[in-house]
Amino acid sequence: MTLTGNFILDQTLTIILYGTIVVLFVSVNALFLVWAERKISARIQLRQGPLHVGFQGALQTIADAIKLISKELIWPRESDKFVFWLAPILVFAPVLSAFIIIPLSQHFVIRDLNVGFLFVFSLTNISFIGIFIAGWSSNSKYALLGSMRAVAQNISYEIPLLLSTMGIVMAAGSLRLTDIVAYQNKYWFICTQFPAFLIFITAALAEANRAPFDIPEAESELVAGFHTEYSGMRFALFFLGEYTAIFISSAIGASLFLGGWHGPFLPGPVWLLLKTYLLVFIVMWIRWTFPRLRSDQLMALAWKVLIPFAMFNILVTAILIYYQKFFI
Amino acid sequence: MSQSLTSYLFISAALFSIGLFGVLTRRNLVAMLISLELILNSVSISFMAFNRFVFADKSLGQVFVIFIIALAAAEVSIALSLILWLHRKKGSIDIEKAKDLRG
Amino acid sequence: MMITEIVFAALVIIILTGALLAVGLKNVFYNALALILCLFGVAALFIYLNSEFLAIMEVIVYIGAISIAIIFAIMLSRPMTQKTEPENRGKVIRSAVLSALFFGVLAKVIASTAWPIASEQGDYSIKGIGKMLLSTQALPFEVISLILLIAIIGALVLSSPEDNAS
Repeated sequence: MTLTGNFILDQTLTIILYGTIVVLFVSVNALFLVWAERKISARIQLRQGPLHVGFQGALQTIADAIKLISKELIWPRESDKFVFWLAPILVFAPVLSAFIIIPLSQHFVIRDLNVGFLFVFSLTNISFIGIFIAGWSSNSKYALLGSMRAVAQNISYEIPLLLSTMGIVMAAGSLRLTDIVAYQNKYWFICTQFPAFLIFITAALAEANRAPFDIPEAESELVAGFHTEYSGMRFALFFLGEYTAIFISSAIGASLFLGGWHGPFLPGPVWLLLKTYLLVFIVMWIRWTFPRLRSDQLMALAWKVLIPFAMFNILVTAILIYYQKFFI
Repeated sequence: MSQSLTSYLFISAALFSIGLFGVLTRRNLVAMLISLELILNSVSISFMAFNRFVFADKSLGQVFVIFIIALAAAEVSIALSLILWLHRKKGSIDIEKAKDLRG
Repeated sequence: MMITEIVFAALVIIILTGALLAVGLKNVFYNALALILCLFGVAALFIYLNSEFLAIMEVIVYIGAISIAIIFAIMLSRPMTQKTEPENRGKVIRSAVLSALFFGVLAKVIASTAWPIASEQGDYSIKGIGKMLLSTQALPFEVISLILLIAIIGALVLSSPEDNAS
């Protein structure tokens, strides 16, 4: 579409438009997800949750955000000021990149990259570096311990995350998300790659530092883990990054396993949002159901259980594709 | 400018010289390792540039860059284990302090 | 197209700035962060050279694993408030002159060679890399996996506690 005649002005306006839409969506989504988490956790624990601010507490998150913005920004003494300032930015910025590749419908994706979802998983490595330097620059024991555990956990669970999606890539024959979603018009990949789906959900939970894998930011263990020394809007950035990471993992999981925008009556984007929020609900349900794993149990789960299963899944998928010349 | 081979080769040569300067100058072992990574990356850029402009029919340069990246990962893991072992023995990772074999 | 040229120039500035900061700054932690910036620029440069897959691999392996390992080593080997090392002026000047001479020789060779530019473009897709890794380059592929195995075993042996050595 050409808004003006000039090509450069056109591209710049498109970038600004998409950027604004993504930022607005991320904010509204975070609002909704924080409220949903509090309501879901409340109902699972047989209590009510937020009730007073707005209808059924829907505006509670806005009240919390106003409170966070008004807090004093603390600089810990002896901390490395530049790195301390840089860390929340590095943690939050890469998750916005995922909105570029998610296919909303058959013709609408911002940029259909040849490497597809690997783009997102490569940029989340930069957010691990942000987590690492957040703990390091706070110059406090709890923050440093939390950040080391967080980084070890994140780089360990990245391998099963990528391996579990390789079966789908082999079956669909391409890394592009639009090709993978288009391949699912007869059946969804969750039917034939169910073990890979389980591994993907587990690894995505661990990547987002989400319970039962939330040792790095465990509220009852390490004060608050790597974001102990952060206050006010900086803490809000970490929080925003975590909820957006859950949404992104669920959206990519919905595109890879649940068929993306395919569905009978409603338009494509609505189906994608429904499937994404179904996965987000499952993620929140898991948080309030299972106890937290200890650090060594967590690492043992990744290296001794998930990686062998993911490799076995790839082997079986490859054999089936080769010998049957079609995928089941 | 981005479509000519010589600009990529100039970038590669500049990165190599900067990395060389770092290896010769720095005393901290980890800083020397960082400069070594710069040298490896300059070689990767030059392989990819030759693959794109000169030997364009096969993707041999890309495969070789994959090998370089894998080798760099293996080398960094061993180098960091050695550096931490030296730190355990000597208490610092200054390369001027490691002169037990000096005659 | 002008936009690609402007972005290319910005990338070159990012790469060279990152490299200069990575060797020049005194605090070794800042060196590691500048290395990450430089590697990000190199990955973006790989996209210009028609290989998005290698750009992603560079970010995942170099920035996501090697740089994190380097930062781990920095954290484990010095506290943050330690004073940095004193520099020897003569050594710095000699190294700078040597590196500048080296760059001069390389630049002269690059500028004065008539490079044979190929006319047709080949297959840069991931399928091509995969086919080549398993057919003509299968031997280096297997050797690389052996090297990685040896490196893992070596790192484990070197970092085991001393009273456990048998």
